[in-house]
Amino acid sequence: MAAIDFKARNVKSPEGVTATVAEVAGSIDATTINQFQTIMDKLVQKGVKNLLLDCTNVKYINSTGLGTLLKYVDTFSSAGGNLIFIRVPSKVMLVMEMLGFNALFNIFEEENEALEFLGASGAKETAEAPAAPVAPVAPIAPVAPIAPLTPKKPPTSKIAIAPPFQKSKAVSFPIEVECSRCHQKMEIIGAGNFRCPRCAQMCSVDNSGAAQFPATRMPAPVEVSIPATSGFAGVVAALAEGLAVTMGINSQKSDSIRDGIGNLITAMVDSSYSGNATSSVNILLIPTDAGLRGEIVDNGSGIDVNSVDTGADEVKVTPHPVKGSVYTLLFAK
Amino acid sequence: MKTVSFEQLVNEVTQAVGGASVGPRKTLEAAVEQIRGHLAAGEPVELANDVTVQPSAGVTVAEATEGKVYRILLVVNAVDFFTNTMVQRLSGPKTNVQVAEGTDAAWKKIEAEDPDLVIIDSTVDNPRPLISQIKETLGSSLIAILLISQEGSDPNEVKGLKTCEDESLVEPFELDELVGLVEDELTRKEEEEAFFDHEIHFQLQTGEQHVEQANDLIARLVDQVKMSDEGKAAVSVAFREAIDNAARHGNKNQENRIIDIIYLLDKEKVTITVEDEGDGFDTEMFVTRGREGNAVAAARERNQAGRVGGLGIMLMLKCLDDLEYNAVGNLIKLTKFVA
Repeated sequence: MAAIDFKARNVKSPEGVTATVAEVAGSIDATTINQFQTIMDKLVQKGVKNLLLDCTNVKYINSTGLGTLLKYVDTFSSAGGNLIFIRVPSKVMLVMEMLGFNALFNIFEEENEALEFLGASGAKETAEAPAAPVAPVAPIAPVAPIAPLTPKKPPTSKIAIAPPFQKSKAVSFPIEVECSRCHQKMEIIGAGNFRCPRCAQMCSVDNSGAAQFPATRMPAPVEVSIPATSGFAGVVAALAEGLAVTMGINSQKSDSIRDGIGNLITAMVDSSYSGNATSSVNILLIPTDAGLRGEIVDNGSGIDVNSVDTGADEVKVTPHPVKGSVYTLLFAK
Repeated sequence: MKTVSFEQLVNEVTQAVGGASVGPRKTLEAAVEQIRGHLAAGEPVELANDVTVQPSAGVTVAEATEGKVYRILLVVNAVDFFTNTMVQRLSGPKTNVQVAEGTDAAWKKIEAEDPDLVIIDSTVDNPRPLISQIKETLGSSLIAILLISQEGSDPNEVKGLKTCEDESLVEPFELDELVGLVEDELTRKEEEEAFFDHEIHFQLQTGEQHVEQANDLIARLVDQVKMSDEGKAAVSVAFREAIDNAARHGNKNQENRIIDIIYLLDKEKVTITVEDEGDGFDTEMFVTRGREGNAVAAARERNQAGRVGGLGIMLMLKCLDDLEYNAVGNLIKLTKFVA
């Protein structure tokens, strides 16, 4: 009989955010789902408001497990809390992505990022509140500029998550919401917490369709489209360097980012596009907590990106939905 | 019986002519004499990689220049009278039969010689790991396997997870029956080589442990395919859903019911069929719902009804390029293009 192992512990961030971290080991599928639900129900009954599910040792999640995870995301959200996934293995992430659940789930690489998110979403108050009943939250004002995050201030400037039972001004989903950071239009299929698929900015939408974004200390992403000639590679390289400096990345690393981006675009326009200035190349440079991420779309004949001296800490090549490939480079801070 | 190697023959001929330069005629006569001696002792003599002289009546010089010579490997526990009888009966102008004692020696010969057919004798203890090894390996999976089973055994019996041989024969049998099966298998193998790169048929009892073994096996098979890591993972994800449905919904988790799986790889795609022994279901309704439905809404609807599941077909459709059921609904075919 397959079994699933749970180890729970409580954590508190320097900002005073409290949460329970549950390390799960095993597969979450039809053979373990009853056991998984029993444990999760106990955590809910104990009054856990914010649960960080550490998926490091999750071997696999199948469709049954995924549907059940959604149930608990909704359960925690209804109680004014959060179910957050951390350290999600790529195999598990793939299943979430296939059904689009990754846009609905709060997923972070590390525990501290999740705690930071909870802090930004005003979770300190809900986490420390008694298990039940949850005090109603005042209606959220329409999207307003959000002040930079200052941990010890009251949560007025932070994101507030509207509990689902607050049904005033219900709106007909899906609705379209524009990301406050990269201005990508997102289709929102229902109330809940989301993450922008382009820049990973968090977003909370309530039943009335109002969207709230947490404050961010990151500069806005840079998106450019250039003619496919090497003369423009230097321009993009300079933009990448400027963005890195603005993010607080040291000058040596910023220089390396400039050279890496420049080398890749030069190689790409020369080989993949044969320097054809009538074609255009799209580049997106996104500041993230992990570092500067560059996404370069190659609709030409393609290049071996690993043979280019990019200096990036991670290089990923994924198929472009229409034609060619997307080269994703991560320059760690 | 051990084959006399070309090097051994050269040494013997050199000794026979005294190492002196005696001219081509004397050398050739000495060689023929040596070969006759070995054949009389029942020992095959290798003249070149593709030319082996067999000691059977009616001769058998297999010459590659006269068309394809099929390589047959007979795996036995130890060479005995019956082994020699089979070797003699199967040898012919278009066949080269070699013998391996034990499964370890057999695998070494398979890697070195790339036979067309492997016959595993009933004297071999536990032949299943060798069958699995041959069929799981991309380069050897198309080798036809004929398993000879002991009298009274059931070749269709499935215990745990079983990698299937291509043909089986239960003792006692007539040698003509064996020869007929060998000919059929060699023909089939040659035809299938034109279409497939990898082929494996396996069956399992319905049970968590066996299903997990099948998942691991498919992951190992897909890992050998030249396709993106995302593509490989997507095939494994879809297979997990398919076999889980077969075990739970099709076979109702009854251990005596069998799940039958065929994995095929060709130049363009991976195809996996999963068949259960259940009554099937209304596939059209579920597939249509899977194609048109919203996964989140469907999951919430299911959760509100206090039920789990319901997303399996939707997930498979997302992972695959094609998904088909048979008319009954107890067989699903999963297709993923390699490029």
